[in-house]
Amino acid sequence: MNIPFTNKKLTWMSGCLMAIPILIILGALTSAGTKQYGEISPYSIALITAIILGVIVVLGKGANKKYAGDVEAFADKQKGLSDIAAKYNKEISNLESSFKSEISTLVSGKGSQLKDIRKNYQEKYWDQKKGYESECNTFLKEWKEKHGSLHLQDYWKWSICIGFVVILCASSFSFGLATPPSPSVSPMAALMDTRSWNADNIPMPHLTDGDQYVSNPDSILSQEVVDSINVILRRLDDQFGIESAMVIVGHIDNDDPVAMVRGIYNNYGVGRNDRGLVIVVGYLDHSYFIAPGRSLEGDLTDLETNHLAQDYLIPSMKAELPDSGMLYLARGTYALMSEKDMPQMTALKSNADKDDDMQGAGVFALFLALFGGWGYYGRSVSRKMGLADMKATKLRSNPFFLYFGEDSGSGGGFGGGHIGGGYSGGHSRSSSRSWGGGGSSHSSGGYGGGSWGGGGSGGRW
Amino acid sequence: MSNNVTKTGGLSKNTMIIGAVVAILVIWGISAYNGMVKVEEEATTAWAGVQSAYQRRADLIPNLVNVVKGYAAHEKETLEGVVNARAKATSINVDADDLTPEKLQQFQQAQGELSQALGRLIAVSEAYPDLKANENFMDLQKQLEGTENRINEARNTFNTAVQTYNVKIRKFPNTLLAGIFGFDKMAKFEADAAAQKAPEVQF
Repeated sequence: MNIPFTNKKLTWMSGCLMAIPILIILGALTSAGTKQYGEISPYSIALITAIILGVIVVLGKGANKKYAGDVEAFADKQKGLSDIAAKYNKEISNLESSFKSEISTLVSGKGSQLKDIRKNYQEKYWDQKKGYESECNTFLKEWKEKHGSLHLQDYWKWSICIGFVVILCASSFSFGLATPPSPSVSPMAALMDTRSWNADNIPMPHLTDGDQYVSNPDSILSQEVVDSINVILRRLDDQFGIESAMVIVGHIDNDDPVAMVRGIYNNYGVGRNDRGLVIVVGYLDHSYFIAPGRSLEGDLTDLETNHLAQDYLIPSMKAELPDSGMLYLARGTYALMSEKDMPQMTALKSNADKDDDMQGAGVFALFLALFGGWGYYGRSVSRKMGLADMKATKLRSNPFFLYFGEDSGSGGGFGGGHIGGGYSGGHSRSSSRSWGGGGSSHSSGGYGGGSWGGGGSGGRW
Repeated sequence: MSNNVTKTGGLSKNTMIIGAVVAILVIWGISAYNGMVKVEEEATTAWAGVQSAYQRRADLIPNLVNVVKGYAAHEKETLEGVVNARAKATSINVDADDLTPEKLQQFQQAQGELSQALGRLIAVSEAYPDLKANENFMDLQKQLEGTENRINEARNTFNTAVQTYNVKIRKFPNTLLAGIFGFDKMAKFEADAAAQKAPEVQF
């Protein structure tokens, strides 16, 4: 028996229609969140949300105390509905027992008789269900006439709904915070007007601070990555006696990294005992050169420097991720010298992006927990207060189920929701500071007077 | 007759002055000689670096020829050209003590011809995608690039050392001693005329 329109279907349709403006509002909140990027932390939003929910719960507890009579009335209602459900569930159980004993007497092969018996008991089940619903409605009608509109019921209905709305809005806003807007100007384009550098005008932080090996005058690398690379190059210096100078600029004079390498070696003498390593990258020129000093050529051959560039530098630079490229290049060089496993570049992400992803996952988990926790709390309150009327009590599902007619009635109440969408990161990125410089130093600056023999490898991407 | 000569310990003043001048000249002479020896040694050491760099290139060529032969055996003329040029270049040994301008030019010309032959070989290999994709070939190309850089640096270092030496021996009064002790002007690398021509590629 097909029923074209039922209350349930109307509810679904109206729900779908209501979802459209809700989604529009949530989208607007997400967009607003992107504009706030970097100023408010998603964790702060989650904390504020949790506080709001806590306030609702505390107020609810107070309301329960204030309207103690309403609590008793809800308890009576719940008991009444439960008793009715118990009575009809017992009748359905008896029907089921009778059905089983009847079909056990059937001779096998009598499929049509079984079908008729099923249909017969199905109709009896529907009769029981109608009786259950009728008796529940009568009870509720009498109960409402007796108690009227209860403040507590209204309070909890609205509170639970508001709680969900707050969580949805907060999570959408946080999602906007986690997704920074695409810059109107690409990072590459922002560097286009930078000056060109050569060995005479390039700042060399190592001259004044022995812990600084990276020259980043155009701020292509983030300060965090510069610090990480300095740590690795410091280890290279201490463990293998390799004094390094890593230079990354937007433009190199005459687009000639070899000349710049030569000039750096001649001007500053990178490398004690000729074990220097100079790396020059022209980010906007798409050119690079890796130049080991005379005595280092045996340990870091032309082919090895080429492989380092091919495996780490070039793929990252092509993906416009200079942070990844330079960091992995430094790591790869260290791993090569220490004969350890070479680092695997599984995903071209800068450390800032990785940090964003980790924090984004944390924020996502937090809001998921909030949503689930509020859903569970709302469900328990709903049951206790009898907010969902009949659906809080459960009539047994149809044990004589057939593929026509309405299916079994399932228990209702509030189910757990879920947060839509995902997070790609939730950390506000700190702005790049100026190159190198600063920091405490364990050693005074200056280079060791090394020279270059022409070895190494370079190229373009 | 008055005698203006003061006698001190048996030595006359004139004698002392003459002695002092001679001593100064000797000290200067020794210092200048040692200085010229030092810069000459630096120049000869730089020449050794140049020869080492060229030899490094020559050592790569047999491997390169073998790899190319595996994919382009019929490019016989080009391959033989490289082999012959290598043989000629490696046969010219120039001693640092006998580095005359003529011998240096001869050396440079031979190496220039080898560069031309190599350039033709690399250009020809562009027509063979399988060869270009061969890992050994790519590695050899990279090594050749590195070697060319080393040759450039070695030549620059040599030229700088020779310039320093030539300036030292030609400055007055060093030039007086240079002639006496046989410090001759050294030749430098000049721009290779052959390198100005692009290699001719015939497919």
